[in-house]
Amino acid sequence: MSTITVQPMSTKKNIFNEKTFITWLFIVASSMLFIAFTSAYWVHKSDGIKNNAWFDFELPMQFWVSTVIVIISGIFMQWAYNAAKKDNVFKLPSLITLTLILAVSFCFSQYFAWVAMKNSGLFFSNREAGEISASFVYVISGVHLFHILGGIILIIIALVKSTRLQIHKKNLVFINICKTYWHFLGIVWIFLILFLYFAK
Amino acid sequence: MSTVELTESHAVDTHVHHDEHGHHDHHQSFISKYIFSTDHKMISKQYLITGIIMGCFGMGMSLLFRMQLAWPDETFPMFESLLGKWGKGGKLDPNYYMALVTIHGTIMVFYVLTAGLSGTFSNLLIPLQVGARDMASPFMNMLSYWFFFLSSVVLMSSFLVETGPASSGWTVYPPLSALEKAMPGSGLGTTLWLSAIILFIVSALLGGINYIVTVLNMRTKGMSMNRLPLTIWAFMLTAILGLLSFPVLLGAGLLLIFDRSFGTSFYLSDIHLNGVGALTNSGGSPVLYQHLFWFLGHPEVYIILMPALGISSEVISTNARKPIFGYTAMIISLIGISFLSFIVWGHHMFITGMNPFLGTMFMYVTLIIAVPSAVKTFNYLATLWKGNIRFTTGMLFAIGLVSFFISGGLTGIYLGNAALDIQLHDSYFVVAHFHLVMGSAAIFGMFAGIYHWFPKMFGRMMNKTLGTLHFWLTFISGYLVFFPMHFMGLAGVPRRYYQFSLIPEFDIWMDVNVFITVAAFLGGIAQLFFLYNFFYSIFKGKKATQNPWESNTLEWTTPVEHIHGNWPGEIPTVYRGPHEYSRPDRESDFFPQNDPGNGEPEHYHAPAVVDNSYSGPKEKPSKVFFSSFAYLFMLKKA
Repeated sequence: MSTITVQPMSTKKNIFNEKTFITWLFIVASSMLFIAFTSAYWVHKSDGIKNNAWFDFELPMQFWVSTVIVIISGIFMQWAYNAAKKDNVFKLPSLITLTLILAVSFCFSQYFAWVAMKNSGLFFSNREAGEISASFVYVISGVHLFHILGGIILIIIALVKSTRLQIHKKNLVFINICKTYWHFLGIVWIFLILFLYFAK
Repeated sequence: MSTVELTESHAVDTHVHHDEHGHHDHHQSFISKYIFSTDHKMISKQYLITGIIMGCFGMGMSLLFRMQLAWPDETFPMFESLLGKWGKGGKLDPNYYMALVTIHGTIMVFYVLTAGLSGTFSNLLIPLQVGARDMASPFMNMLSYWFFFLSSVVLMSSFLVETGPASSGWTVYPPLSALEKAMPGSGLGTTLWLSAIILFIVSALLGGINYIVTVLNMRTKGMSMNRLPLTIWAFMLTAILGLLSFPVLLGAGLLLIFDRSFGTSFYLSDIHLNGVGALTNSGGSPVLYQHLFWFLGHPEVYIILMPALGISSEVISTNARKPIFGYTAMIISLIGISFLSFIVWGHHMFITGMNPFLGTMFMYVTLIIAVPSAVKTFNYLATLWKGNIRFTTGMLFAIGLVSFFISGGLTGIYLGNAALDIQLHDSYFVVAHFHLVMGSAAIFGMFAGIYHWFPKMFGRMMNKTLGTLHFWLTFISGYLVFFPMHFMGLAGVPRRYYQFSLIPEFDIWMDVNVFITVAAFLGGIAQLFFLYNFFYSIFKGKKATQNPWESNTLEWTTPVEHIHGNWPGEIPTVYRGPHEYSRPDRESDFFPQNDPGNGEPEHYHAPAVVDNSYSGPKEKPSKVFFSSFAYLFMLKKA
């Protein structure tokens, strides 16, 4: 410690790239939102069971399809990132496009899951005590889907950048943000579906 | 040179930096300089002035409803001319009374003491005190201000709505806020309130993320975390609290919006509404909203207070000409308060039918907050003790903060008790408590900051005589208004009531209500001195010198005239902590952080240098760790 009072500390490097750091903090904030919803669901459910006002239902098949989609898209995203890291810039656009297609099909699978829920009589607006579990599923998956839309915008920007060869070994910041955020969304979805499956 | 990453790929030479931004410096249009500015100093001024305007609205509302409370049977023609149909015949409409109370609370909590206080000073001081050219993302910073501005406009526009603004209290508890027909304000007014708050949350998150990144990532050479001014510590921890708690409020708000407009019943169950009949909603729970709301709501209290505490630490240390007493203890207590603030929300909900065991747990953790708070108070007083005090206006307000923090904090110990809360809940005792400890203390911290850093913001000084007058009038009126409320609360007078004259046992409080209202007007008049002083000094105040308070921190090394990028040459290097005042080995009683102190006995605090580094064979820490077990269990011989 003694020398610190007279000498400047060694030139410091930034811990993180600022934009990556911002992404991580955004992820923290989003996680809090999902934690709020899932704990609300949990608390509400234990109250509901006590008052005989809770109704469990099987999650529609489509939600499991979207889980598979989100996992595969995560693999492609990582593949794209690794390619960029190895400077395989000419592989990039195809990998990002595959990710994008999977991301969009994720949205559709979510939509079809909602349709399936609606067809089996589980509506967003509930008029009976038990139906509140369906409302929660709609809200939780809807907020997640809203985040996915943001992710799709990031992937589209990454696609454009990759075709202009702006993503390469020495410029990984954007693809790194994209990858981090996409993995975050994938992990959140897997967490949510497991939560909804086991919480019932 | 670590901070010119603003321009990413360019060399660190400052001239390059300047060329890069040259067109900003010299040919800025009015719009890019004053309106859509990305310069943190301009954004902080925008925050401050918006905050002051919102503060005027908030204060004005409180005076209106205080008039109603003091003279419930009188008529004031002024109500009719000011409020139109809500003040028909000079009588304030009961629904509008509730609206005024609600919007007063919302404005003061979110718009003045969150955005106005932390937005202003985080923006101004973080880059200047850590030695950065600007925020991590100036663009996000600009967005943050404009979301805040938009949110203010949306909130105020609810006064122009036929059914009036939101009127279910600043906490907008359902079911009152969830049912359009519950009261006039629950219609469009509450929709606007919710939209405003969602915009506000976006603004707070954009700002907060920026503050954290800037503090952790962009400090200048030598500015280690243990040399950061306490303001910066407070702003960073505040931003972390906001980052973790505002999303939860967003969740609560979304569910409320769904309940209001999309037919869900997250918060609604078994309700009979006058004139409508029994509602079909069932299965929901209004207590769920309270949990979600107070998970934000309690950290929010510290989001308000901690920047004020940080500001007063700096102002007190500078003007007492002494190092702050217990710098590390100050940081640890801030961290302690931040942590505890997340596990105490239940103390707002003791009487919601909470399990008494859970209530007791919430009570214990609540009472523990007294420890870090007392550490802070003690350190303020110990810093003042035998200091060479300069009673600048900023200093007066900082000392005022300490006073309010003590007198308001003590009643927190009463309110934190689950058993006492049965009597005190939703009474004027609560109003007295939080207006002293969070309202008055935080606004005094804000005033301390304004008076102290006004020369940095506007390059001019504020008038000291007017400032002193402002301080004494505000300080006295603060106590006169809020102190009697303790006694009203103990006697059971409930908060948020429109009129007490019809309740015989509260008749004895009539005169006290008049007294409080007169004192509130005194406080209102005092703010006129401030407003005059503030706006006059921006244009006509005495020109400020480079370092008017002889302070140590880096912001006073920048030129008085603001430039883009803050320092004309290189960013200064930091050699010591921020509080080295009155060192006996120095001629002057301050020792700026960037002063290398050549020619001085440099090793003043330094013990003899001992080489205590390990010189044996070196291994990776993980290997050392694991092999230590091998040695422990004799699997290996030493």
